[in-house]
Amino acid sequence: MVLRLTVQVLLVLQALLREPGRELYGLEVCEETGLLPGTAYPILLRLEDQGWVTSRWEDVDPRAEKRPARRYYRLTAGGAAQASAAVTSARRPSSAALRRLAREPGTT
Amino acid sequence: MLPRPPFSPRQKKVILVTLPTASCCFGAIDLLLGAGVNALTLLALAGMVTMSAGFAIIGWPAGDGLPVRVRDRRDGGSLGRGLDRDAGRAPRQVGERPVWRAVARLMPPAAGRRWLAEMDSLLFEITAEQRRNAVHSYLLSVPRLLVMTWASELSRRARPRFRRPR
Repeated sequence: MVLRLTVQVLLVLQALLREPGRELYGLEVCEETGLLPGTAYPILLRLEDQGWVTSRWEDVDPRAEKRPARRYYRLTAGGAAQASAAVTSARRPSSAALRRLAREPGTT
Repeated sequence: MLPRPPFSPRQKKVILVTLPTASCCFGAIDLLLGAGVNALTLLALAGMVTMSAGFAIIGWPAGDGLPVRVRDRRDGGSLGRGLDRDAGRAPRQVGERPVWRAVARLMPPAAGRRWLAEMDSLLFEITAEQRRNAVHSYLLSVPRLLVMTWASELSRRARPRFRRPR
């Protein structure tokens, strides 16, 4: 499955890249990206499928913590490199957009 | 000491919906019997309607407004229930709802279990208002998730077959 770098995917990658070593759980990803869980979850699943992200269940006793265990996500070493490359290239305007800009009167 | 009410709010709701539905069904049977419709068929239909209304109410999502009894699980179950005190109402575990369980069953088993557990974990930590939006977005993502999880599962199963011998 090819990973399409949509705006939402880039938002998730950016959130994970902010502190590459830090693990984020689903709710944190949603809060940092502003995405709804139904959007963020398939993205995280796809990133994990591609090997960019790895995840694990929190090792806690839910009864002691009085909440269900969270699933934590973090970028893999390879994933972090690919993600930062993807985010950087997304920030750069595409050649098509530059050509369009050049054609517009008053921009040069 | 106050006397214990004969019915819980949930039981009252079930009775309030089931009784009128049943009486409507039997009224319809009465009317249609004159028209020569098979009585047994109608009786079966009435039973089905009543039962489905009853089950729908019993399985009413508690997080969406119906107060549920706050209780902890003592049977070694993995999750506590009714601990979302900020929301004012106890969220019912997603995994306990037949609809979500049915949706999860459409996915490959491991993916379905993980989806339910993750949804449980997230819905537990948000407020009732946020929960409604979150549940809605989870519902909307189901078709995409089904395709994704099955595609990933099938590719995982197919991979070893095409592995070249070294």
